[in-house]
Amino acid sequence: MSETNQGGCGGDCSCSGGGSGGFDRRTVLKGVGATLGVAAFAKAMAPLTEWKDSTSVDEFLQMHYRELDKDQLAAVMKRLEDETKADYGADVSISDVKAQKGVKFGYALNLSVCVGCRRCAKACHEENNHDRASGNSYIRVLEMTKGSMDMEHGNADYNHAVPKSDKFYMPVQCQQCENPPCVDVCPVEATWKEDDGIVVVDYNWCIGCRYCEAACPYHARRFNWNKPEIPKEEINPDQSYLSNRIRPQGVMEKCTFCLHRTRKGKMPACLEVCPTGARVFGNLLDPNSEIRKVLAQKRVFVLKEELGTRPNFFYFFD
Amino acid sequence: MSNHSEDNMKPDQPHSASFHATSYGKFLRIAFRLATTGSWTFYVWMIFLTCVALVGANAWAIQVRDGMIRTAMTDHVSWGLYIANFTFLVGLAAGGVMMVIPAYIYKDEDMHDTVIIGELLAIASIVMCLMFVIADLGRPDRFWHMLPLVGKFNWPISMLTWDVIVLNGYLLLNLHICGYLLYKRFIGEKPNPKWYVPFVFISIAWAISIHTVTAFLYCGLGGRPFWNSALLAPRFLATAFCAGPAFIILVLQLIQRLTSMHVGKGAVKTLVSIMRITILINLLMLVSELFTEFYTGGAHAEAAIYMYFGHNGMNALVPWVWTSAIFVVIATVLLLRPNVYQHTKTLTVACILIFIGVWIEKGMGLIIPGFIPSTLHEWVEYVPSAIEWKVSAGIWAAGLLVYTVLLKVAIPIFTDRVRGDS
Amino acid sequence: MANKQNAGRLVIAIAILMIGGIITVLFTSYIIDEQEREEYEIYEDGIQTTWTPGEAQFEVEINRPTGVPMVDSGKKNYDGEAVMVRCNTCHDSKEMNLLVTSSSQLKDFHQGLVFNHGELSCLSCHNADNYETLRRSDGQVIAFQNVMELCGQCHGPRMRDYKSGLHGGMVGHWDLQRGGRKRNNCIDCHDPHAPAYPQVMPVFPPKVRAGKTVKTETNH
Repeated sequence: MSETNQGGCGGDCSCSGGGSGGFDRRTVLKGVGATLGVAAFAKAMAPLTEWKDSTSVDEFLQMHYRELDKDQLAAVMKRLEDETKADYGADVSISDVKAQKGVKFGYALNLSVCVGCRRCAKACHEENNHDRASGNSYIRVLEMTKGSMDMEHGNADYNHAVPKSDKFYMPVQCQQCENPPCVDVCPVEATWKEDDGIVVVDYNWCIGCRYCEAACPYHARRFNWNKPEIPKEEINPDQSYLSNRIRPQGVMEKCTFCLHRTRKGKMPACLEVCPTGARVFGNLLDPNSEIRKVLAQKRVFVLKEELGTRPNFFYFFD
Repeated sequence: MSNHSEDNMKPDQPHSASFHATSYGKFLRIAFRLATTGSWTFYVWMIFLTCVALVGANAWAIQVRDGMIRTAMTDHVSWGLYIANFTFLVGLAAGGVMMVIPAYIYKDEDMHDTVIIGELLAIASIVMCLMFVIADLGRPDRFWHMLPLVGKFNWPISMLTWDVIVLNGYLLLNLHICGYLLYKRFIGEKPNPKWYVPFVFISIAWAISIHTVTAFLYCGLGGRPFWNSALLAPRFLATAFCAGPAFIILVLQLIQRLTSMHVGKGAVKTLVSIMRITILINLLMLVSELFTEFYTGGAHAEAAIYMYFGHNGMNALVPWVWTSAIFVVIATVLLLRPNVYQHTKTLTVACILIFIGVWIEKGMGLIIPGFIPSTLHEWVEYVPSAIEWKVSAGIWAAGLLVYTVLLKVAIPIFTDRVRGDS
Repeated sequence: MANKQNAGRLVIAIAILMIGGIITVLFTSYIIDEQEREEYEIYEDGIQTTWTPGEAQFEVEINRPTGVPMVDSGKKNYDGEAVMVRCNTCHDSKEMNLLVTSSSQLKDFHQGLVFNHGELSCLSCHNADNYETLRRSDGQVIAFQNVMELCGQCHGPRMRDYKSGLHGGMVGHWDLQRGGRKRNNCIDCHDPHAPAYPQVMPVFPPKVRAGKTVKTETNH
């Protein structure tokens, strides 16, 4: 930013035809400098070439899930299966299960019964092909003090025989809100609410800005801080595009009520593993479903109701 | 730009396209030469910035390759140093335009001389903002998903899309205004007000909008009580309008010392009065916010208590936030000194203190406590990793590089030492 | 310097800008609001819409005890397996001691049995006429396979919840048109002699991210 105070046009700028020797040396030096600069820049950016191997042109050009027709989606899922084989050595089948008409999923959890054993969190980890090192799970179980519903008095990191007599336990996962703040904030529509109420993420469209993670009031969203690492034999081969397929690095993911299971009529993994039967799952549109009976017969509440997110995940005591 | 030289200029006149083609080519050529030629100090400065920028580029490349695991961010504190810097720089960009308001609305002649310095700062800041956003993305390769038509743009629902629009619009506005004024000056003509005055007025409103929209990014999140305050946007503006002028005063002093450009005393005087007011408004708002938090107590106050006093031995933010508070208070006192604009040293110290204080307040002091405690009230701390520091330093260096080049080109043209017709 | 006229111009400029901004914001929030209202209505209708699930194609199967309970004799056979004996092996000839009031008084095969089930005595559930069956308080004899009927006589509300599907673990399908379901029986989870669910060690400690753990709150 220094402009030397010599007379003439532009001081020492070369147009004034100053000393020709200085002019030459300067040009040479500039040339060397520029070459060095470019070389240094190439060297600095070299890690990107290694990263390029883990992504592909097809992936780069892939369109949004909702814009793919049947054949394109089939091709994408085939490619993802091949990539899983190449990267992890596992044979998996990736499908695309659509939402079923007349179905809207609801989940209820009986806080009187939950003992806080965290088996649901573990089952989630295994079912959904989470990165092993991160110990990731869509469920976080809070140990709460009796006499308070305030999560400030909760603690997820307990390690003693449960249930403790002065505590109760509250597993929290995605509430599949009716009015999900995480969907509103996404700048690229990479996450949306499906007709059966499940909020999903297109892992191949997400840009990884993590705005949804900041917007979610329930700590339900997770980011893939690195490329997930899972031993071949531990990979759950029953996968779907919108739920438990192995996620790419650098994108958001979340609980989908195991839609690869539940859209085929099955129960979610966290429910099946629950040793105390604290969980009730079903179709909110079916008046005879268990979940509707919970709503009718129990005094249920939702978390952070004051935020207006209107969860489809209900808690009750009995 | 002195009044003397303005009189020498020809009035705006129509030209053929071929005239513009040649003279604009010449303009670019000379701009390039101006940007790459200078004293040894200039070269040392540029090489230094380039080196830091390269270190940052390398750190970023490693982060992209290995994943964001190289940062210290977690699912609990999912934004960190990058977004902190981004927020501050949006403010700096908005603050740069504070010079424009008196210059064009009050017809303050002294400010006319220096307006371009502020607008160039806005350009450099926005460039840095965009770089910080890209550094924060988990998948920078998918940036095109945001482009209208080819990608999907969740407008108007997502505040982030608003931010993308206003930031890029602001960049274009300032590029146009600066480019037009410089080019006209270069070909020795008076700029036609029709072609820039409307844009100047738009850019004033736009400057307010960029920071308001950025505040809305945070205060619209109901799940984050620390951010969910209506006072956030006004506080953003108040801090922006003291950090921006503070930086510009420092730059003006450097320009005064290093170049032949004349900086009118009136310009600094106006900027100081702006700072005096905005910093007091900011302090008032800070105090009323803290009163509400601490006197009410409860869940809302948890984050503020953590930030100022720590929580169960976790106190990563305490030194930061107290530094900020002390710096801002000292600077306020210094600025209250009568005729402070005549006391260069006091003014410099005050400006540096304000700049650092606001950088912390609008950066680490704003973003991090939004995540601590988490929405499930878990306590996970955040201390930036080496990679994050390197990338941030690199982006700052790149931004200063851009700003230096812009000033290097603009000042000789504006002081009429480089003219296309000579 | 700023004279009155300029100040007036400033005020007008700012006013125009602000009005423009307010209109934009209002317009946007209206659009967003509109969208949310629509969703809300769908939801409200949705919850009232009756969904006819069609005939259930599969059954809900409730686990049952496989047969009469056996007691460990404490002896091993030639293969090293525990020798289990049926109740009637002893009780055919041996009457029970009606004076026993707590589990610590139990002897022989019953020694060590933990009993913690309210004020009940052995014969509240067991049938003194035939130890391989149970007996309800109204005297009706119940096979061990139908133990839930016995539990239900006292635990009415719990039984009602169970019948509604609100209590008890299960695996299988929520949609009985596409698959069956298996439900737990009371004694799958509850020891009839000490029905409170026992304490267990939690599995799978939570992490924050690879290489990071949560700092525990110590004061709770």
